Amino acid sequence: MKRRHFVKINLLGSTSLLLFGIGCTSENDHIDYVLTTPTNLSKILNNKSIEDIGKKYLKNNPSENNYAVLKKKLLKNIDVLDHDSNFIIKSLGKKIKLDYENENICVVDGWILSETEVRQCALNHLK
Amino acid sequence: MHIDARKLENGSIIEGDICIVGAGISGISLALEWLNSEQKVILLEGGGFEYDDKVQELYNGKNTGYNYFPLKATRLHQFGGTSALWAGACSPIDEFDFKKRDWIPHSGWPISKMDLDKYYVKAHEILDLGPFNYELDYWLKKDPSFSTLPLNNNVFWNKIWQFSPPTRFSKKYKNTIENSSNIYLYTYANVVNLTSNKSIDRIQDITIKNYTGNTHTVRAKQFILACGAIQNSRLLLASNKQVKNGLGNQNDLVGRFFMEHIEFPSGELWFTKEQSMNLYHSNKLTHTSTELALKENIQSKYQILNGTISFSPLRNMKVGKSKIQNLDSEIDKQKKINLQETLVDRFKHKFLKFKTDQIKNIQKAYQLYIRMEQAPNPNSRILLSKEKDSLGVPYANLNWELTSLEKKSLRKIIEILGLQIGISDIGRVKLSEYLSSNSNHELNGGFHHMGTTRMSDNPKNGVVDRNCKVFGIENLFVAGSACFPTAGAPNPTLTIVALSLRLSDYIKNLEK
Repeated sequence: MKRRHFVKINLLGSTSLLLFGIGCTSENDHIDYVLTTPTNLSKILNNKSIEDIGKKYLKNNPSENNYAVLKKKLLKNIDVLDHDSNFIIKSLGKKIKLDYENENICVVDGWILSETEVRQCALNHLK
Repeated sequence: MHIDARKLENGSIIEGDICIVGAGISGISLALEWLNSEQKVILLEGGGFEYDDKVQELYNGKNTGYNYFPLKATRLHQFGGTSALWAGACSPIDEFDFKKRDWIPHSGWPISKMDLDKYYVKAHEILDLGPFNYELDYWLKKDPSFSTLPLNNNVFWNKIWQFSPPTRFSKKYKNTIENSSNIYLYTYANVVNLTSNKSIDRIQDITIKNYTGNTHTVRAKQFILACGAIQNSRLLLASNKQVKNGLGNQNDLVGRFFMEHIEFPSGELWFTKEQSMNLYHSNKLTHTSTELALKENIQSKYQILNGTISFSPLRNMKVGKSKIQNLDSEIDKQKKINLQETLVDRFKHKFLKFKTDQIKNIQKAYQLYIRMEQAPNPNSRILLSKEKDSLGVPYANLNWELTSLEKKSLRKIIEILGLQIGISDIGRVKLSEYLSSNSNHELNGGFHHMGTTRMSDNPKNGVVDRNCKVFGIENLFVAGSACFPTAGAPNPTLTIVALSLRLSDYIKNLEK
């Protein structure tokens, strides 16, 4: 292999890896953003209030005071592979609705919230 | 016909067929039922046609229980009574309010709503209300802007209210009564004592007095106490010269089970999207508004009291200050990448839209106001004070007491709304600070006095029977909300009038 050809291939490979890495990081960021942003609550409360709710929830639920634990609970039964952020938003929305139907609610700062969205607030606090 | 009792010669004797004590909403509604009849009706009013502080002072008293408004300021002592002040909101008591509910001690009426329905119709005329129709579908057709909240109708139903102008009885019915040839209205005629026969089974006469110092006697075939739940029980308790505990009080029930409506700002509702709330606001065209009420089976499931929720726009709209992070599923990846920029634009758009929406009466945040019955409680009661008023009658002491069921119910009603709003995905609900804490913040009443001479089929459980006749006394009746065994959620005026009309029918039949 000629030296020039070898350099070209290497450059191409490195660039591809870099781009792939950026892509992965960006998608992960999107997932984390979605998980830390309770969709409907964000239309009502500012980020500081959401974070406060999360903080208070974690105070009463210290066993969940861990980013990975919370993320796992939030993504339980949600297949993140081959799906984009919209899918996760929709899936979380379904979980939230189900929480309300099953009375899986938490009252924090007076707000009557679904367990799922309170966990989103908690993750927001931990991020 | 009107007679000012201050001008009567001392020791006058007044005689008639029917004597009604109190010319307020109930007393006037009753008296009008005998208009132009052969019966001579004596209508006694302690005050005059205008406010008189000396007379109002007779309604003073002490609060010894839960914090309550000064008794002097909770009802009006003048012709027309508290109708001079009421706001006019009317709705009938719900059918299931009449039932015995196992989780509410002392609940259940001896009559059903059907027994009142035909009187509700007539009460509507007296109170200048629209048709006696409280069906949602009927009113939805009246205004195209009316729409219901998208909630599960197996959980909530929409309770219609109608608004009286409001009818001021002192204005509307003064001339009719003054010009009547058989209704004798005596103003400044304060009842200070009821005297029975020796066997204490019939009222012989009553004594009236005013601050001129003169005393007069009224004799009639039938006597009706229609001066409000506090004063009715006060008069019975104070008429204790022949019976130590007062008249009608052989089972120590007179004055007990005093009830108020709990009226309390219990939370907030924040919508995520605009919702038309026209149905739930006072409407000038239809003279109606609507409140959310829980279905009977839901109240039963959670074992709570009956209450309704009304909506008032929150003045301090926090939406304008929020960082709106809109993550609608339609947002494509490009928009997500430029999220920050998009949010700023959306914020600007929403904020401007919000300002416009305010004008259109479509807002995003509401205070939730619950109006709820209190649980009947024998310890919540009217007693006599040791102090006497200027006419020598002991003042009333109110010992208002609540149970744990009130706070539990208020909280549960808001929680259920929170669940349903969450399921509908249209917003979120916030409990008031009081309901989300263990504090003993004060609850409010609605100036509705009920239940001190409650109705029952058993004299051991009530002071009056199903016809509002005092147990054991054949010619003494009580009119109005004092007879309510439970309060229901709505304001009592409409039911007070209906029950009074029913009583007049009963007495008319006795007179035949």
